[in-house]
Amino acid sequence: VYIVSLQFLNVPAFRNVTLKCLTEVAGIQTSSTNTQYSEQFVVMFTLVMTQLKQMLPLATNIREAFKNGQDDEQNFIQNLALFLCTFLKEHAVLIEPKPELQNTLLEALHYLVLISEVDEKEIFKICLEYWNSLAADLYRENPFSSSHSPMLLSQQNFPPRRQLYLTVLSKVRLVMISRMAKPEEVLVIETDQGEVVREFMKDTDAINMYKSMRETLVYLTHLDYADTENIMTEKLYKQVDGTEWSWKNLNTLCWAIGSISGAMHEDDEKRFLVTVIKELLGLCELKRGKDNKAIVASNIMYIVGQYPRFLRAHWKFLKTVVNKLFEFMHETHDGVQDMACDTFIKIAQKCRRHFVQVQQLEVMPFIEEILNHIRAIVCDLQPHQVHTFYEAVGYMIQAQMDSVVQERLIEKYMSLPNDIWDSVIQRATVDLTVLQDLDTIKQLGHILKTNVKACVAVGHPFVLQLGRIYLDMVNVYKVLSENISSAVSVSGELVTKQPLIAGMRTVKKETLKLITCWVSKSQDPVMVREHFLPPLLDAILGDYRRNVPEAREPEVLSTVSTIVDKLEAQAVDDIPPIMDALFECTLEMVSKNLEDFPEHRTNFFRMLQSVTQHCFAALMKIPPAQFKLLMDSIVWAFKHTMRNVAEIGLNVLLLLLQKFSVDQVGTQFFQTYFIDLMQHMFSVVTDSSHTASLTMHATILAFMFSLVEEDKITAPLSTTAQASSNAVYIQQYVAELINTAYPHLQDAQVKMFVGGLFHLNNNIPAFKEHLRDFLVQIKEYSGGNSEDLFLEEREAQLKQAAKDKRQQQLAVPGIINPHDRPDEMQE
Amino acid sequence: MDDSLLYQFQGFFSVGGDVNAPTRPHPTFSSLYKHKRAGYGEQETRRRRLLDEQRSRRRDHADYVRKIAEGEEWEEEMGEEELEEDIDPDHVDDASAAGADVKEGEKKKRRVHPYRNQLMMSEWLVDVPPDFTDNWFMTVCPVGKRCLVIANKRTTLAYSRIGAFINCFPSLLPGGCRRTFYSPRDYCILDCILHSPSRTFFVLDLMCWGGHPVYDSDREFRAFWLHTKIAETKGVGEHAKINPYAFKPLDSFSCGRDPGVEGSMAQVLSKSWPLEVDGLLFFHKSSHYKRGTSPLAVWLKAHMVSDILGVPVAEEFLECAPRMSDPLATPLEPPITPASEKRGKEEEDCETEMASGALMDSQVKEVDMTSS
Repeated sequence: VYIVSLQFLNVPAFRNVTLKCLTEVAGIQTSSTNTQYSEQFVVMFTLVMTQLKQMLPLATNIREAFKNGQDDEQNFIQNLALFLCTFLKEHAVLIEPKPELQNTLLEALHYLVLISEVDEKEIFKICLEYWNSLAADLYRENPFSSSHSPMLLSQQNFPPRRQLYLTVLSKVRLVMISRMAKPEEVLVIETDQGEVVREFMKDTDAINMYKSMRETLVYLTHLDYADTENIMTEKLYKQVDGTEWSWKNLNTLCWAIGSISGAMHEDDEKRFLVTVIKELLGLCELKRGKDNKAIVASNIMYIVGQYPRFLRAHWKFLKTVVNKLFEFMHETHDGVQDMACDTFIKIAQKCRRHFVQVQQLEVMPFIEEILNHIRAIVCDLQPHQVHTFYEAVGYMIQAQMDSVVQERLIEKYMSLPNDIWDSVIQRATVDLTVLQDLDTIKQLGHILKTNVKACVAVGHPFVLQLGRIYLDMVNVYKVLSENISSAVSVSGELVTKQPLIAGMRTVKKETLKLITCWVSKSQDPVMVREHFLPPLLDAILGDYRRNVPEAREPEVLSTVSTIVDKLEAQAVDDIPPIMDALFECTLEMVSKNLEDFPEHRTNFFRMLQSVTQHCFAALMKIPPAQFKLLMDSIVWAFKHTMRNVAEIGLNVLLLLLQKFSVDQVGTQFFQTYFIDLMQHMFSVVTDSSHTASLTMHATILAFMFSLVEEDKITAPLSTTAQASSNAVYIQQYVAELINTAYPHLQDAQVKMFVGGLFHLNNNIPAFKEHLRDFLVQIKEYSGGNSEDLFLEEREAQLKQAAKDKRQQQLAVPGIINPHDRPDEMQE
Repeated sequence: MDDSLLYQFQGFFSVGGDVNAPTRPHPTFSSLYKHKRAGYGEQETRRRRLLDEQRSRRRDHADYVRKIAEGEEWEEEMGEEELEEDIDPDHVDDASAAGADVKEGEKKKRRVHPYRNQLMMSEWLVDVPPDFTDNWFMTVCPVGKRCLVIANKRTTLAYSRIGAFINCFPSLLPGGCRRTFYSPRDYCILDCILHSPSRTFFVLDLMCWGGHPVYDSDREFRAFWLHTKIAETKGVGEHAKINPYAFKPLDSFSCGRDPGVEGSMAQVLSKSWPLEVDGLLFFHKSSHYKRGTSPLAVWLKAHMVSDILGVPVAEEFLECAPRMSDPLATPLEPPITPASEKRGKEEEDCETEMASGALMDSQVKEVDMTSS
């Protein structure tokens, strides 16, 4: 069949279509035993290759050709890449063992290398995918041969398959190294409060590209370590002697060098790294102009930061690097300070313990020296950089295990912000109007942010510092909140955009953030409850209720959920006052429509979830009227189209049902709400905008039906008491419900469905299947697309695949970025 | 590990290229630069040259201060700074002497950030000038954040060294608030150290007062003018609603080495100091105010004084200047060649001592010779 289509390949007008067709054919998987097809594939491959060589001589510079080519020609290249990749991936096994075909195979690979050089992202991605699978495949075949002592292995010792691919892979290495993608993206954004924040983008196209390139390169490095090193060193010399010097080339090369961290044998890595750094230092000295020097410098620091293993093994070097970073924190050239802070925190996280130990030839741990000089080091930094710096130092302090020493460190660490804090508080106690001064407010915001960052890093021991400022902080919160409230009630909601008011809100938010952060990290719930909760209840919650809605911070709600999560059942007694303060007024805000106050919304329902989970007993004590409100709000929650809100709502509902089913008061609850809930559940199940949560819907419904079937509900559910049992009654009720909603369904269908609901409720997947079948039946009538009903399965599948992959990767040295790898420094 | 890497990393790796910048370790105390880049003797030469240059070239600063006060960006010919860092020092002379004026057409234009790098930055005091006692002043700098303060159009602004906005507030400086605003040309530009906890700007230097630039006046006059003007301006040194930050001028002392003389450096250093001391700044009496680094403003930490200037510093004074063993100065052995391997150990000992500042100058030189 395909031999016919081959005749069209050399006709320009048809070649694109022909190639596409061939790609489809090549993608067909056959079992290796089926020789008949295998033969065909081999024939097809040789034919295509012969044709191809006539059309596109092997010596063609495809990169140039592509650049100057027409649309059609460019498409041809892309299709060719697709064909070759698909074919080789599926059927290379057939070609490899045949000595007479090896030459052809190498030619095909050569084409692919040439195509990889094309400056087009999509095409490159196609090739990359193939190279990745090839390299991984070769590595897995014989995982450890190169990591024993790569230098001793002569080329003859390579396994035959590697031998075959040897030259090609070397070319691929070169391509990978010279095209390395950007490892991280930093976005500088300005927040509502007018502050500059830098955010690291986690999941963009470019980063995914980097990830797969790094993976490929790491495999390639394992396959032949010496070659990778040669190529990189060669490239580096070309930077130094100027033949390939450009900012872009240098960056690319350094990203590549940084990407293979951990892939080499430790000694080789050290030797390689020393050479690289020396060359780059030489380059930095050689270049004139701050712009050039800054680029080289940040590349050096990038590489250094990528090799924590090396840093940990060489204290003196580590110290020199850190001192140099401190020096860069004073550099006025654009971006150098940011670079220095980013590298510093990277290093601090990975080498934290080394900074709190007394190192060889040192008098004291390095952390002490940093703290002695902290003022001088940060004096030229901008606020957001200071925050980063504090977080980094916090990680070091966190690594100090001796709590006495650690406490002293924390005290010293926070003394700079505390000095300013104290002086503000002192003035405020004399004259409260100080807290209406923009400058003071900004200072407070800055100090609290520093505290938050420090707390993130230090964790539970930060209690020392938090305790020091806690009461003052809560009082400041209260005063500011009243200021905001009165400002809003005088001049309307727009006033919150004013710098002063926005500044005050920042202070409030940061206060809450600090409390939340610490509570979530604390290891002592009793202490939280006894020392931190009472002032909070009094000032912050009371304030929340008294405030106008626009001045209520959604973070209050999340702080409460964090506390409840931490205290668990111990919080039972505190729930009534909390609910008193937060419940009704928040409900008022969110129940008017489905959009306003989105943050309050999610946080509110999340809070309900925490409370239900941990303090169910407290809910029982709520008066019926309020409880009704609670139930309504849950129903309200899962009807949201905001997916996260709906999900939380469903979770809360399931929790409630489960808790009530084992409680005596359950009966009364079910009598009041069961039918109602069931009706609402069916309405969301059949609503196409909620299909994403189908599993959860199924779980809840299954649970409800099983309750009925197993007669867990002792009191009759029907009001008229006609039915003999609850099960029968529900059966009738549901059937009726469906009949009225979907009159087009036949009685038999409905009956089967309802019956199924009862039979399958012990088996959630089957129950879900059943539910889905029913939904498809409804859809058939309304003509909707039933594809999205399967959405969740696909997502789960993808997740599972990703998880498997990570497991596999952890076993390959160097394949995980050193900064993503959990290790002993990070616990 | 091969120490030459460390050596290179610490010694020559920089973006700015100022060997004597105080953000790096003091050359004497890190014992690094002496091998390749002498650094010594060169500082004094640059000082001479700058003083000559000052005499021959006076700029019109009226327009310049207006631009800073208004905060507008402007374009300028590639000036001394670029030349200094891009071309070797010998070349600077003719380039900047022939100057921006002559070769105007050929020079590249460059945008000037109105607040970045506007302050005069010091270098480490490396070579003690021969006229140190007679022609230099000392100022004791408190710990704080260096900033550029501009009072103009009824408000006062503070910017950091790198030109980042710090703060905006009223002040009683001319032009700094509604009450002291008489004419739109009444602006002030000051070089200050901000001490946040006490909400005080310690005024280090004065560039412009009431619209009159004093960039091209010598330091002696600027210091006098600063004190007079601050004293004349009622309330500017006090905290008040209209003046939330106090402005206090920092005193200048003569560099006399006799502790008996009132107001001399030696006397100041023999007593305790009321504020936490960051370091000591020395100005040449006739230095003009120059933005960027200047060898006519030099810097030492208190504990270095006895080694470098040979003037004793009392314990009381050192206590006010928290003694930091200079983590910025990592004691490092220079690369050891096989021949000198035996000496390696001794050097190491020497250097550890040196880093703690216990070695006298002569001994430092000796080490220098052995290792080169």
